[in-house]
Amino acid sequence: MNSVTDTASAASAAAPAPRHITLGTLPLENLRRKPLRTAALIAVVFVMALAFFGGTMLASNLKTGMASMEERLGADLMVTPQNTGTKAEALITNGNPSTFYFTSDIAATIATADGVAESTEQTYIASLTADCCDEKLQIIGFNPSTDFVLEPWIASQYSKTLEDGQMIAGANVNVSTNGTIELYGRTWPVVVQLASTGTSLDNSVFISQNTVPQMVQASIDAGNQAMPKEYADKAVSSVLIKVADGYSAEKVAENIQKLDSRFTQLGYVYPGGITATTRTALNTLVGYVRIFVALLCVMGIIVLIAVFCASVNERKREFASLRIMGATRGALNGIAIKEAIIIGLVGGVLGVAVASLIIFPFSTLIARQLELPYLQASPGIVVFFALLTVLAAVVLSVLGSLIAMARIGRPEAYLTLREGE
Amino acid sequence: MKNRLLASLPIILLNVFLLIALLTFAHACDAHDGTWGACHYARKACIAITVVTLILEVIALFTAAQLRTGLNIAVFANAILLICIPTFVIGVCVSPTMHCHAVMRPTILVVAIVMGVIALARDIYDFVANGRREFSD
Repeated sequence: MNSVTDTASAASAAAPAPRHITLGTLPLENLRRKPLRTAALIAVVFVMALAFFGGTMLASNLKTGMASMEERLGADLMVTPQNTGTKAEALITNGNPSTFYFTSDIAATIATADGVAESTEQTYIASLTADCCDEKLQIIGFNPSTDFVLEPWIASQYSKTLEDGQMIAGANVNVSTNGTIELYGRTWPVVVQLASTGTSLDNSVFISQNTVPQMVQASIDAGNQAMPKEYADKAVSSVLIKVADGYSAEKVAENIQKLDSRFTQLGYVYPGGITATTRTALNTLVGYVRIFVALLCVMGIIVLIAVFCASVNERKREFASLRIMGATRGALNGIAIKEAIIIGLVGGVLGVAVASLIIFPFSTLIARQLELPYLQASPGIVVFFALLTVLAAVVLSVLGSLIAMARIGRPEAYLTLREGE
Repeated sequence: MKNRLLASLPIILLNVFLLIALLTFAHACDAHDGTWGACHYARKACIAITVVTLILEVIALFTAAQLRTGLNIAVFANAILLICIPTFVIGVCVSPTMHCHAVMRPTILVVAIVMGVIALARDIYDFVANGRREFSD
């Protein structure tokens, strides 16, 4: 077998050696020599994998964002100035920074209402567009001694008490390398930058209520007054309330309105309601995504089986010849399965890669367009879904191939070879 | 010529798309108080690289195989440069909510990665084909 004549040696030196095909390399050669058929099969698997991985990651990121938002909503009721309910809701979800306030004496009266278990005050100021390439920030003044909404979240990353003049920055805030940010022409020290939440809190900075007058003074010095100076030490934008056991948020709102006739005009925001509304919108979107992905996958499976059947039908003679040369039915199935595995693997990996190129780099844009809490799922979940997608692509390809092979497995090889003569 | 066109067409289309994107929707941030941000210069550099890549691809349509291999390597290097410009070399605005960070940089990265993969595959194919040709000579 290894003896080679001189003539053969000369011939092999003149032209490239012919590729030696074995049963093991046959599937790869089959795919290589029919590029159009291979490309069509890979394209079908690619589209399925792209839709499955893209849709799953989108739904997963939305759910992670929703869970993150729910974790940040520690209050049962928010009382805000007249006609500012919508702005307050936007602050919780994904809205633009804004400034609104009433005075701290109103907040103190609200805290005395029947059914109020805990209350704390927050002050909201929308910053100027700071340095070049910074967007407006929401400055949130809170009282560290009474706060029960932000503190539990902040405590997971910063255990000390926030001093006057210091800041805590949200995940999207541009903090300089020396740990400061510039607002209203003044440099403020940042003690910690919080992890991403997928909500508008990522574009906020948090200061203690005692720092609010300093911030207002800075805004006056910068020529863009955030609020009148006389309100600086008594401005309150919202009173956040945790209701006592046995009271509903609506009942406590009624009790607050009974304290003073003017209080009927205040804004009453129910974070639980916002969560429910956002959850409904999110579930609707996720539902549509799932239906779309399911439809695409079902269509893909049908097309895949059809293409495999057509391909196997076209190759009846090839398989019959192999049978006559001594290949068993198991060997033929093995060839078809190996081809399907290669197609599933290439299509699946391509689908995951292309979906990743859309989902991950454009996550901020997707979040902005959806206007829903959107937070990137953990790397572990991403890897899990990527592997699941590739595995599903391979399994479906193999199933499609086996279904097609079952159809031609029955007739005798000789009859198949002579078919049509 | 048909094969050359097929090999060059994806990269030409990607670069034309990137050029249009950088001039329209994937623009840099506006100047603030007369000061341009890093993204402005990153965009200019990326436009220049895109134009150079387009010129290389057009030249590759009319050149011999071995010269084409050299041009392919240059296109691959340009793809790497496109990835580096908005990330390490010049950068964009730091805040993830800024337009350049949310739209311009991802657009450049996605196009550059796809272009790099195509150019690399083409380089490997050319290398193997040239190797075979040299062997047969």
